[in-house]
Amino acid sequence: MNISVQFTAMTAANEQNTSFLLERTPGELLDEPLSIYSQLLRESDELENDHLEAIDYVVRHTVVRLLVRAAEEAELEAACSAIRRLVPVARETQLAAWLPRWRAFADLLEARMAVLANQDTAKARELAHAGEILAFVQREPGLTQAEIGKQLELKPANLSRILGVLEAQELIERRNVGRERRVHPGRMLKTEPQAKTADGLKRGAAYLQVEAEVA
Amino acid sequence: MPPDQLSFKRALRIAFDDPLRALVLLWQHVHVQGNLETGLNRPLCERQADEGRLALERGQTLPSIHPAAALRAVDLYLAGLSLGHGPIARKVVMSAGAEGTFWVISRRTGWSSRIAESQCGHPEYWLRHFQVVPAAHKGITISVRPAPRTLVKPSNKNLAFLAGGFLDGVLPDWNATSPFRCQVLKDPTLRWSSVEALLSSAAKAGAAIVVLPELTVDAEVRERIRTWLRETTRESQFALVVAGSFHEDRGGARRNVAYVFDDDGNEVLQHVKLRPMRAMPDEEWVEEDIEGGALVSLMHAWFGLVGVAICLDFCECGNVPVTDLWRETGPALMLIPSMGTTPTNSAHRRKTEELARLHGTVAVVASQHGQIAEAFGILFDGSKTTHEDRPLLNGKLPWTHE
Repeated sequence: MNISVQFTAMTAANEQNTSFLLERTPGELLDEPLSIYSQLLRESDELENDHLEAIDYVVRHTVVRLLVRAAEEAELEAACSAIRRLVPVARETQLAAWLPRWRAFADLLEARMAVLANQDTAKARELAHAGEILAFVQREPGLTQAEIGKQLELKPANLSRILGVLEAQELIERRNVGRERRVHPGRMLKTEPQAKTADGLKRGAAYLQVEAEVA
Repeated sequence: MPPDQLSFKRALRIAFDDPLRALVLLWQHVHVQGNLETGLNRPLCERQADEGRLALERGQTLPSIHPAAALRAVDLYLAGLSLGHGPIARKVVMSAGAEGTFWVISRRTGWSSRIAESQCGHPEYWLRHFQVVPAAHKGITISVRPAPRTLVKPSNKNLAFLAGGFLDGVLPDWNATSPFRCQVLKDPTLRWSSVEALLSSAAKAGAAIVVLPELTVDAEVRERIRTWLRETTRESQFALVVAGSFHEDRGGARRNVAYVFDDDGNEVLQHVKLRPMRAMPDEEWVEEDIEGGALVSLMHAWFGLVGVAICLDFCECGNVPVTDLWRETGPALMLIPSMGTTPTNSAHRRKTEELARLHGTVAVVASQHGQIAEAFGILFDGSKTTHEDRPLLNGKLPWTHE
C-alpha cells in the first residue's frame, strides 16, 4: 500500500495518524505530493515538533530540487501554491514558528518564476560586446574575466556589467576558481538554436577580424 | 557654481559607476528643481541621449549634454543593465549634498503614447523605462514591495476584475451620533454569504482582481474570506483580493484598515486609511472616529505600481498631504474601497482624470452607501467611466504586455 492510499484510509477512519512522517525514509516522504502534508496539517491534532521537522524537510528539499534542476514554470507554480496553502488559516497562530520559514521558501520559487517570466535573451544579445563575449565563451568555456576583458579591450567595470546582464539571462555562468572568475556557457546559451550560436560566432569573428569557423 | 549645477555635474560624473544615483540626481535637477527649459530642443535632446547612452555602454563618462538628454541616456543605459531582472524597485539613499531617499522603479515599455514619450519638456513621459518616486511625501512614508506572483509575469491578456458591493442591507453597527465608529457588522453571517457569492462569481468569471467597498468586511468576515481563498479549488487564480476595510483598535488607536490577500489567502498588504472622513452634508457635521495613518505601500507589478487607497485617501482635493500624494507616486492602477454617494464617485473620477494624463493611471472603485443598500463597481479609465449603475462591475484593465 502506498502512502497516499494509507493516509486516505487513515483520515477516513478519522485516526489522524501522523506516524508515517517518522517511519518513512526522507526519499519516500519527498515522493508524496505536498497536498498530503497540507491535509495532515488541517486534520491532525497530534503534530509534534518531530512531525513538523519532517514536513519542513519535505518543503525545503522540494524547493532545492526544483531550483537545482531548473524546473519549468508550471512545476514551480504548483509547488509555490502548495507551499503557500500548506498551513490552514485556523492553524496559523499555532504554527507561527514555521510559517515565515515556509513562506520564505515559496518566495524563492516566486523569485525564480519572476526571472523566467522576464528573460529576454534577444535583447541581451543586442548589448554592445555581448555577441563577442558569447562567442568567446562558447569557443573556450572557462575563460577568465581578465582574459575576455583583455581580448575586447574593455575596462573591468564595464565588462562586469555586461556579464551581469548575460548572467541574469542565464546566457553565461560565472564560477569562482581561487581568486579568478571563470566564465562558462549558461543554460540558455546551451539550449539556444544553432542559428543564433552561429550568428554570435560570426559577430565575434567580425569584431576580431578573423575567419569564423561555423559548423 | 550653484548647488544644482554641482549636482548636475556630479550626475554626469557618476553615471557609469552609479547609474541609479545619477538618475535620481538628474530627476531632481529637471523635475524637482525645474531646471529644464534652457536650451531645450527635442531633436537635439534625442540625439544627445543616444550619444550619452553609447558613451555609458562603452564605459565612458557621460559627456556634457542637456540635462533632459542626460536623464534619458541614463534611463536607457539602466534599462540595458536591468535586462532579465524583472520588475525592479530599488531604494536609493542620496548623500553628499543631495538629500532624500527615493525609489527607482522599472516601468512597462510603452506605458504612454509615442507622442508623449517625445516630450522632453515633460520628465514623467520622457523617462521611459523608470520612474522616480520619493520614499516620503509630506510626512507620509511610501514603501514599495513586489506584487504577488500572478502580477509579476507580463500577461498577454487584459486582466479581469470584479468590483462592487452588496445589496443585502447589512450595515456597520454604527454608534448613535458623530463621531462615528463601528466595531462589527450588524449581521456578519448574512454578509459572509453575500461575499461568498461574490467571490464565487468572480472566480467563475475569471477575475484576477476583486475589490470590495470600505466598511463592509469586519474581522469575522475577513477570516472567512482568507479560509475560503486558502481552501477552495477554483478554475482561475485571483491576483489580489482587496477585502474591503473596517474600523479596528490597534496600538491604542482606532484605525480604518483595508487588507489585501493573494490567491492563497495570504496577506500581501495592509492599508491604514490616511484621511479620516469629515464632512457636513445637510447642515450636519459628520466625522469618522479614527486616526489617520502615515504609510502608503505600493505593489510593483509588471504593468507598474499598484496602490490601495480608502476613499478620501484618493479623492481628497483640499490643501492636505494626500491631495498630491498620488501625483508624486504615479501608480498605474489604484484599487479603492470607498463608502460614499454620487459626489464621492465624481471626485474619484476627477482625480483619476488628472492622474491618467500624468501617469496613465486607471482606478477601480468599489463603492457602498453607508446607510442604505446601494453599491457600485466603477472603472475610471482616464476620460472614460464604466459602471452602468450596477452594484457589481465585471470589467477588464486596459493593458496587455506588448
